[in-house]
Amino acid sequence: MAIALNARLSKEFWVSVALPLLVLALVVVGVLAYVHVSARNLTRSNIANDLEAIVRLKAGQIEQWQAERGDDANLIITRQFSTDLQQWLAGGRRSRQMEQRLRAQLEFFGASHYFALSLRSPVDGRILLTTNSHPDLPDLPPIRAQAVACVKSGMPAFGDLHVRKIAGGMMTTTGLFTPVRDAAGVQILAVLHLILDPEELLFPLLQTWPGVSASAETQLLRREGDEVVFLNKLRHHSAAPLQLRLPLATPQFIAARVIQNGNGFYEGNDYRGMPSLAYGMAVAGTHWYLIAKIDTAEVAARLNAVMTYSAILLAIMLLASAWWLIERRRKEQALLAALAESEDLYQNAACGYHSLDRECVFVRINDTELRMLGYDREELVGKKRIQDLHTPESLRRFKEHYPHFIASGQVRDLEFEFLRKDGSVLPVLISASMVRDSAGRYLMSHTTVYDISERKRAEQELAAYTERLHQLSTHLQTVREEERARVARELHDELGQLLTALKIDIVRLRGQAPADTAMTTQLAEMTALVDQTIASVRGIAADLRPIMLDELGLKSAVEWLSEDFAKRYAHISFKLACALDDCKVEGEQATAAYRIIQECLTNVVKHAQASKIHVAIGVRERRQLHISVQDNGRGLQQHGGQGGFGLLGMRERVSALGGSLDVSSMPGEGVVVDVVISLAQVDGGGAVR
Amino acid sequence: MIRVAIADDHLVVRQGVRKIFDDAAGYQVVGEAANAEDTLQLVREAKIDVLILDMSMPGRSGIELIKQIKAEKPKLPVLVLSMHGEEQYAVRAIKVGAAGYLTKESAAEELINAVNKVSMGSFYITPTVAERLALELNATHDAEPHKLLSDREFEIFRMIVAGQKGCEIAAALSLSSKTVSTYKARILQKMQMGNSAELIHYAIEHGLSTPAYLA
Repeated sequence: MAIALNARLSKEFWVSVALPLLVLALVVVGVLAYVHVSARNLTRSNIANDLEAIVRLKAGQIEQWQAERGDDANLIITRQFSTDLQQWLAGGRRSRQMEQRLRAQLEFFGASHYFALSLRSPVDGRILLTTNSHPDLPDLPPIRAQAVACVKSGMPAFGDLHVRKIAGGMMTTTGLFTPVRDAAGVQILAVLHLILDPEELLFPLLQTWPGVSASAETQLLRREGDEVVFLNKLRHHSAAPLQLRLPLATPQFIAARVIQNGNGFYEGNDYRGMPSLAYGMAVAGTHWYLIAKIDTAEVAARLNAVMTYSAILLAIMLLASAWWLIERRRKEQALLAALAESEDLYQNAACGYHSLDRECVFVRINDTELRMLGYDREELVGKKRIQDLHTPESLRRFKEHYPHFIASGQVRDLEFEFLRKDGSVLPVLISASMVRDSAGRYLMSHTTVYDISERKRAEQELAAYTERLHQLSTHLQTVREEERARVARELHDELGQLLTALKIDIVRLRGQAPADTAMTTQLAEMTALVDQTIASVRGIAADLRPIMLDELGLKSAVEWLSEDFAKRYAHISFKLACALDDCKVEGEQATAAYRIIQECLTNVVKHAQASKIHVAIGVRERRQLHISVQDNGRGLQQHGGQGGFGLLGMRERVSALGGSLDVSSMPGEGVVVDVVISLAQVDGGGAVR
Repeated sequence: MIRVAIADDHLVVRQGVRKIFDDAAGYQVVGEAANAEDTLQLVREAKIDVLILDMSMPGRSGIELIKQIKAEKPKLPVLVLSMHGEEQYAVRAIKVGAAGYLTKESAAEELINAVNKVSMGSFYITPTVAERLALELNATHDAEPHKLLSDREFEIFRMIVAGQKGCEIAAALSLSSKTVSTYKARILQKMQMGNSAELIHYAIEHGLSTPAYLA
């Protein structure tokens, strides 16, 4: 049965625990996948927004920077400066003084902000005047061309980035070309070239990145023929600015595609060939393109980290759910097992159980009690009241106890008798307690029912056996008493009479014999011997049973007994109160009374160390004989032998006559034996009420 | 000549008694009986001066027999000759009308003396029996319930009927209250009374106490 139970439980386990867990796991995986995809998309769009914002911010900053440089140029080119320049040029650039003034003006404005300031010829772009006499100051052909282009457009223009070798390395420069017109504002006199070191502001601007990233960077680039040139110092490449180039016809590179396709979000490789996300746009007023990028791997790493944490969290939740499910299942099974066990215990308990509602109708009952009663459950539950099962006598007692049960909420060990279905009587022992609802109202009873028919039978057998023992004991006592009476009478009458006759003869012989002879003496001795023998016979007979009890009655016998006692035990003060009136106490009652008093006196002498004995005998309304024997001895505790056969014998005698015997002891006040014997047997002819 | 009849169920005793009378002069044994019925018949028919009667004969108890004889022949002196030495027998015999009581072992020495005495209408009894008879004549009615009380009980009875409370009695007698109440219960039981009021009533009736309000 246990194995089957296990198998069933195991199958149940799969259905109720493993399957839900599996489904839950699948759902979790699905959710994770969905979250991963949507998170990736969200991340990409976020990243795209971020990159675009960064690019726009930086492009704006570059434009701002360029506009500031234009303002600088306008501050330098005052009317005075134009006039001075016109005069200097008109003088064939020979006036040293004028040259000094011009240079001073240039230096005043620009030396602190610019690498160098120079004035170039509007014709060929050559340097006319410069603030920096640095030997490496560039005067490269592209710069001259730009200066000339500026003159042609008549508008200020930013020069591109240029790189040249200088002592100790490479140097990148850029600059602003602004046409300087005459005072009238018609003729272009020269081109003012502000030479800037991009390392000072532009490159730091590009290289700063909001937030922390391991791969993000901003790239500035332009097109040179079929190539893309990276203009700034790159984060992941050792090449100097303008040194790294990529062919334009390589669409896998984001840089190439930005130049070809213009503003927008791109996904492709960066210059290292690393997959990247980027936003590219052209910087207004220049030939430059600005790209903000971040490695796809970094973005993925961030997402993966989030996803990993989520997965771990979900896994933990899943495990917790699994544990909870299994635990709940285990508890459920334990509960089920406990329920099954308690149900089994309830149904097959050694005693009967039932519950009754307010109307005493059966609410439930266990198999054991049903077996006891021989009913089916359907015959009792909801149909019969407990009163229907009681025998009439038992029902009377039930009605006595029921209010007590209602009042106290429980009853213990009450004996009742039920009627089985077949009509036979079932003696039961019942204990019940009340089950109340939360408001304390009677809900139902819980009753245990023990079948005590065996016990009852044993009790009856024991009672019968005890009764037989009593009868035997009484019989033995009667026989003994009769025997004693017979022997006493034989001794007293037969032997006594013979001795009397003998004595008469001896005394007659004495009268006939000569006086004062040896024979007379001998006859006198014989007379004394016969007297002694008669006394002895009389004593033996009296000890066996005083014939007086039969011939003169209890009062005389007790009087004689007390006199005899007083003679024998002179140290004990003996008082006898005998209120027997004219009522005759005879036969068994008289014998019992006499023997009891005799036994009490013996006990007192043996154990009590008393100095006083009071014996009272009285008859109540000619129906009850009351005997009381009191002493002033040590009390019962010290009377080792009081509880022995002497007392037992007294009890037997008294109970055989339907009387009662009480022994009480007050410490220091001696022992009192109270006996009440019913005399109704004599009057009523046997029946003891 | 004193005419004597002997009633005894034992032949040897009758023979012995007869021998005593034979030895002495002036006595004539006029009849013998061995049971109660014969004795009664003898008493009715024969002319007898003294009946010598055994108390333990078959047929009827000795006391009853004496009563019967005295009822029929009130003037006939009955001298009881008994095997019983106990004085209770003597007292009972005298009380129902016997003129004398003699134990059989004294018969050899005392019988003639005793017969002489009772034949003259006098009693033949021992001094202790006489004393006992005197005592019984004087004794109050033995059946009075308070006679059943022991000394201690009577003491407490007196205190109760004098109106003392349980605790006062306990203090006076150096007993515990519990012991006093046990005594009281015993007194009530022995005297077959239900409460202290009945005890007081009884005490007044029997002159055993003066009620507290009169004292």
